[in-house]
Amino acid sequence: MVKSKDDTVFEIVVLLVILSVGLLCLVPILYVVSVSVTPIEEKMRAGGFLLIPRKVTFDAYKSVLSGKSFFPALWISVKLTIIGTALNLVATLLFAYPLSRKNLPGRNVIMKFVVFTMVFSAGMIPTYLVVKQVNLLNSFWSMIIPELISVYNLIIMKSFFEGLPEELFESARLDGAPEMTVLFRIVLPLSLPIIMTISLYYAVEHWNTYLQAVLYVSKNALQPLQVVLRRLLRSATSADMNADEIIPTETLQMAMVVLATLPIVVIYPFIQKYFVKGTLAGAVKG
Amino acid sequence: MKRMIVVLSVLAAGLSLFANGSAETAAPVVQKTIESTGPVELTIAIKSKNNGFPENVKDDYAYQQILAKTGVAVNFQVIDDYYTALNVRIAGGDCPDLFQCDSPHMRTFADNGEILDLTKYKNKELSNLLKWIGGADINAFVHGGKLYGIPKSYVNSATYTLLNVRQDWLDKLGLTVPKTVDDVYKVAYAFTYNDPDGNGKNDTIGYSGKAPYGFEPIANAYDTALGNYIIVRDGKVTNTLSQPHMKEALAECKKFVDAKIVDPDMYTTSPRDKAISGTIGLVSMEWSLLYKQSYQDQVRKVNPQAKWSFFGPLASEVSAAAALLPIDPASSSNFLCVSADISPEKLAAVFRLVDYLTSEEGSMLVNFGLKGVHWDEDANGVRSMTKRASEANYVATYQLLGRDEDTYLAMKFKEAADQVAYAKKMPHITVYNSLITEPEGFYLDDFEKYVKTQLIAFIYGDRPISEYDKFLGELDSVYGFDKYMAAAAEQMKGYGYIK
Repeated sequence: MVKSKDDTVFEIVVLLVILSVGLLCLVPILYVVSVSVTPIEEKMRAGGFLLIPRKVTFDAYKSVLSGKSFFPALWISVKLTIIGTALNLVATLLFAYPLSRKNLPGRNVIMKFVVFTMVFSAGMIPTYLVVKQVNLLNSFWSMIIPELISVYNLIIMKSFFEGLPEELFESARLDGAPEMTVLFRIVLPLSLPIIMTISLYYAVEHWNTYLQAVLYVSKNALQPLQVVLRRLLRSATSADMNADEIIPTETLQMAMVVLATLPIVVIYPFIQKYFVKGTLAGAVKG
Repeated sequence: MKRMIVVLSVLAAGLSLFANGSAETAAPVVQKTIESTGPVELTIAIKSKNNGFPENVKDDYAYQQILAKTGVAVNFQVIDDYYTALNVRIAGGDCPDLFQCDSPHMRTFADNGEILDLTKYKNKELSNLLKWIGGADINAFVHGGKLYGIPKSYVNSATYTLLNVRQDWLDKLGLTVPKTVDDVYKVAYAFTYNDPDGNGKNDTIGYSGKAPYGFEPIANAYDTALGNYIIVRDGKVTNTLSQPHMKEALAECKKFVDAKIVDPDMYTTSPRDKAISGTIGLVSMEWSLLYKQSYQDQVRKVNPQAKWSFFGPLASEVSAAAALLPIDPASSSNFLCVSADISPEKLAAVFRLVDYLTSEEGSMLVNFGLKGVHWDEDANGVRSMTKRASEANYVATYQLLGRDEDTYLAMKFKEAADQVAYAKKMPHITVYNSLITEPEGFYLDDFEKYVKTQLIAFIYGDRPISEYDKFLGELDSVYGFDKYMAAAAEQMKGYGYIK
C-alpha cells in the first residue's frame, strides 16, 4: 500500500495526540513516586513540585512496611480480592448461564427484576438493616455478600453466552450430557476472555472496597487497605486542629499510595491480553 | 438426578425463610448478668484515633487505668465518613453509647429523639464537670433550653493563631516588625520584590495565611471579617458583612492582590510547607504549625539562618488594633452525646467516666500519660515531661472532655511558651454562628458559598467594590439574608446575649 503524504501527516498527528495524553497520565504518577522517595526537606527546598528526585531515601517505605497498620490491612484486602472475586465469578456464572438459555421458564420476568435493581436501589439504611438482620455486621463477609452479583457484569456475561453457537450445546446434549457438564466442559473453556475481564472488574472493585467497610465493619482488624490509607491521609489535614499531632509527611503519604496501588499495577500486564479481548465480548455485534 | 437437584434447591430456599437473626431476643438476658457483676463496656464512636494507639488492649495503659479506677471499659469505634456512617448505624438501631458530635448535628439528633436529654443531671452528676470547665459558655451544648451534649472545655484553633514574620529577612532589608496594615503592606512588598533571601532569584512571596483566614488579619483591623459572621455591636445583633468599614477592608485586601505580593495558593494549601521551606516571609498561622520543636528543626535544616518572629493584631486608619480573627466561643465540635437508648447501668458508668476524666489524676493521665514514665513531679510539686513523653501521644484520644489548655501547653511545648502566651492574649472578634438555627427556606451552605465567592471576586478585582451595597441587596432578595438575621436576633435574645 502506498502511503500518501496525507497519511503520514495524519499518523504524526495521531502519534502526537496519543503521546501527550500518555504524558498527561504519566506525570502525576511520576510525581507520586518521586515524592515518595524524596526526603521532605529536599522537596520543600525544590519548591514543592519535583519530577526527578535528586536525593533518594527509602525511609518512608521502611516506616510504612514496618508500621502496625499496613500489613494487616493489606492482608485483608488481598483476602477480600481473592476470595471475593472467586465467589463473585461462581455466582455470576451460575446466574448468567441459565438466563442465557432461551428456553428458561420465566426468563423475561427474571430479567426484568434483575434490571430493576440496576436502576433502583433501596438506599444505604435499608441495606444496612438487611445486613444487620442476617447477622453479617462486623464480619469479613459483609464486604463480599451484599455485592455478590453485579448486574452490569451479569448482563455482559449473559450476552456473551448468548453469542456462543447453539449447535455446540445441542450436539453435547444429544450425546447425553447434562446441563452442568455443558456448562463446565463446553461453555467455560470458550469463555476465558470474558471470565478474565469480569474477574478483573470484580478484583479492582474489591481492592477498592471502602464504603462497605466503613458502613458495616467497626473492628479495626478487619479494615481493608483503602480505609487505612484514607485515615492516614486524613490525619494529615485534620491534625492541625490538635496541637500535639506530628503529622505524617507527604513522603510517607505518597509511599502509602504507591504501596496500595502497586499490586494492581503489577498484575495488570499479565491479564492485559484477555482484558482487551474481553471488553468487546459483551458488546452487541452485527 | 435433575429432579433431585430441583427438590433440594427448593427446600434450601424454603428453609432459608426461617433463618433469621435471633441474637436480639437473646441478648438482654445475657447482658444484664455481665453488667451487674463486672466492668461496664461503653462504646464511644470517634472520628479518628491518634497515632500510635495500641492495637492490643493489654498495651493500652490509659484503658487499664480507667478500667481500674472506674470500672468502665472504654471501647473506641473509629468511624470513617463519620456522619454518614453514624446516621446509618443509628437508623439501624446500633447507636453507640456515646458519640462525638457538633452543634448543628446535635440539634438534628435531638429533634429526632436520638440523644439523651441531660438537663436533669446538671446539678448533681455533671456538677463536677461544670465546675471543671469553670463557667464557660455551655450554650453550644444546649438546644431548645435543654442540655444535650456533655459539656467540654474546648479550644478554637483561632486562639492559636498569630502573625509571623521572617526576622532574618527584616534584618537584611532593614525593616521593623509591622504594627499597622500599611506596615504589613510595605514589608510584604519588600519581601516579594527585594530578594530577601539573597539568592538572586525572585522566588519569595510576601504575604500568606492559613485558609480560610488568609486575609482576615487585614479585615479584622477594620473591625470586620471576611465571611458570614454573626456579631453583637452596640447591643444589637448584626453581621460582619454589614459592618461600616467593610468596603475599606476589601479595598485594602485588593491593594495587596494588585501588588502581587500575596501567595497564590493561599486559599488551597496550608502555608506551613512554604513557611518552612522559606518561600513566604509573612504569614498568619497557628503557632503549632511553626514553633513546635520538630517544625523548627525542619526550618533549620532548610536554612540555618532562618528566624521567625511573631506579632499582631494590626492597627489601621479605622481602629487601633481591633482584633485578630473571629472566634466562635459557643462553638465546639467533637463533644459527646449520649444515646437515647442507653441503659441505666451504662449511664451511671458514663458519669463515673466523666468524673474521672475531670479529676486531677484522670486529666494528667489523658493529657500526658503515666506518672513516673512520661511525666514526673519533683519535690516542690513542679511537673515536667520526661524523655519518654512522646510515647504517650496516643492518650490524646481519651481527651473526650477537652483539657486544661494552659497547663497542657505549658508542659508539653515549653519551646513555644512565648508564642502560646502571645496568641492567647490576642483580642478576637466574637461570633455566634453555631448557636443559630437557620429559618425554614434559608440554605446556609448556598448562602455561605455565595458570600465566599463574591468576597473573593471583590478582592481579586473580578467585581468592583462599588457594587458592594448591591451585593448586600442580592443577599436579602435572593437568599433571605434579612430573614436569617432576624431569626438570629430572636434566638440570641432567647439565649440571653442581648436584651
